[in-house]
Amino acid sequence: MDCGNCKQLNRRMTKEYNQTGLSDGRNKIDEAPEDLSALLLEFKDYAIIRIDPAGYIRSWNLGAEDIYGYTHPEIIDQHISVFYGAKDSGKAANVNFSLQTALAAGRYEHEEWQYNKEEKPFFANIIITALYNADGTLKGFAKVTRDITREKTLEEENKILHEQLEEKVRQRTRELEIVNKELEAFSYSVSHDLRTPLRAISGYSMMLKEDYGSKLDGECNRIMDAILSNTKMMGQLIDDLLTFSKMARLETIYKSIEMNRLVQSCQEDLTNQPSRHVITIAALPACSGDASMLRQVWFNLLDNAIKYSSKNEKPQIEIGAKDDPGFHVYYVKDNGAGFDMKYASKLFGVFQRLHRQDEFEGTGLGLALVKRIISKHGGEIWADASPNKGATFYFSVPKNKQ
Amino acid sequence: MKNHFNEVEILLVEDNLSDAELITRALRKVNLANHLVHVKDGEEALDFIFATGPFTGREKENIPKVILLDIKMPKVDGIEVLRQIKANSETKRIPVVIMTSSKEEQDIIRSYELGVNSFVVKPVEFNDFAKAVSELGLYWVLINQPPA
Repeated sequence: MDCGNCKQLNRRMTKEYNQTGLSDGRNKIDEAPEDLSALLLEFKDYAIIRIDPAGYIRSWNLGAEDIYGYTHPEIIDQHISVFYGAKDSGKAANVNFSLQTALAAGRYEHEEWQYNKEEKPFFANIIITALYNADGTLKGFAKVTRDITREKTLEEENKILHEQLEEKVRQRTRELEIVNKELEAFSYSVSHDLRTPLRAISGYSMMLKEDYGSKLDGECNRIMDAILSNTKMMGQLIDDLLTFSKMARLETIYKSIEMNRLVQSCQEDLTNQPSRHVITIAALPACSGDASMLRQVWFNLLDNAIKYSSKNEKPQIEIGAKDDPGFHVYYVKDNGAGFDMKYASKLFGVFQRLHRQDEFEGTGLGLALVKRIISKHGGEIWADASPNKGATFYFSVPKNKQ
Repeated sequence: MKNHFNEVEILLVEDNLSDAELITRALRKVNLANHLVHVKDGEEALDFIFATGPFTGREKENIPKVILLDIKMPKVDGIEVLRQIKANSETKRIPVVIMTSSKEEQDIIRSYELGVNSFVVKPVEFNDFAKAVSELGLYWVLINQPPA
């Protein structure tokens, strides 16, 4: 082991010891060169090689023997281009480049394929540092090499796995896009093709009623009315179903929403004729959400409250809000028909109803749609009710959603 | 060519005969069906408008006051008919009202891009439908002032 090198390292270490205040006695520091040279000599994972200014190997450690496969006598005085092997002699020219760079910049780091004595390639991380004598003349170079074939292989395997995964994602996305397109085409055709014959049924029934109503007896007219109200119901069902399926595809556009204004506009739409309902609306905190979606939420909840309390002599609806950690919670409370809480789990299901059609009309999609919108916003919806004592519907919207 | 094709006020392009009957009935109730011609698909519509095929010899300069156009039709659809009408300097000023069953966003956007004058979604309910048809018939035939 060359001790000029060791002295340099020793100087640096002494400096560091002193800087970090770990120096508790000169003896320890004086022992360092011996420790260090043994350490460097036997350090197995790194090849540490000293090269003279012309590129010839002057000394090396046991790690170098392990990595390159040459014995100490075999390698001393060899030129470092020997590490490129016969197969890769072209690269030997690069050796000069690496030494020149180390000379110019003080340090040169590089990763490349090198060869051991058996001409077996391994992927090497190489650091070359220029070494100087006390008088400032070039002493040579220190070359530290580490075999990183394993890391390189892992990295490449990872890369391949990653690419395979990406390809799989792309393929799935393509498949999903196709399915989505089909679904859209289906919705389109539902909306167009189902509405057309329905309009014909409703239209011809109406013609019959208009042109021959006076000639038909009461029972005939009752049947005619039943046909008409059912076509109306089916039209509503198709529209609701389309709104529901469209909601899944719509992107949520977050804006700051004045909830009171939304509620007000829903109330105006729902109670344009003089209404018996007394509706009180408290001050509601603004929230971040999609205006048209949240309007649909208020519209459906208010519409339900009005509908289910319409049989009460003094229908009352209360709209308010309360504060929860991280969420704004809003509620719509009515004094209407309510429902038994044992059916609460069915409330928000598609086509689920807790009242018969002859009690209260509905398609069973309103609350399912509300739930879907609230879920999209990252909130929750729940209800509290008892039969004939009214119902309260709560929904929450996260406060910090952007 | 038959003379009455030259006095057309409303050209109805509709492949569904039931819808056509409902529309005609609603227009008749407000006395707007006397000068109505019904063609049953997009191809026939183009032949009528450009006086080709079975309508060769029709006086092209007698343009209808309004075209009521369905979108979903076999062979040539309503969007294509609209495109050809609006792309031709002789016909581009004819008001075109799209009447369709679906409020598909893309159809609405595409129609307005092509220069449609109005886009109406046919209500399922007969009364609403009849009202919509008669109102738009009255507007385009009696109230709207076309360029001279």
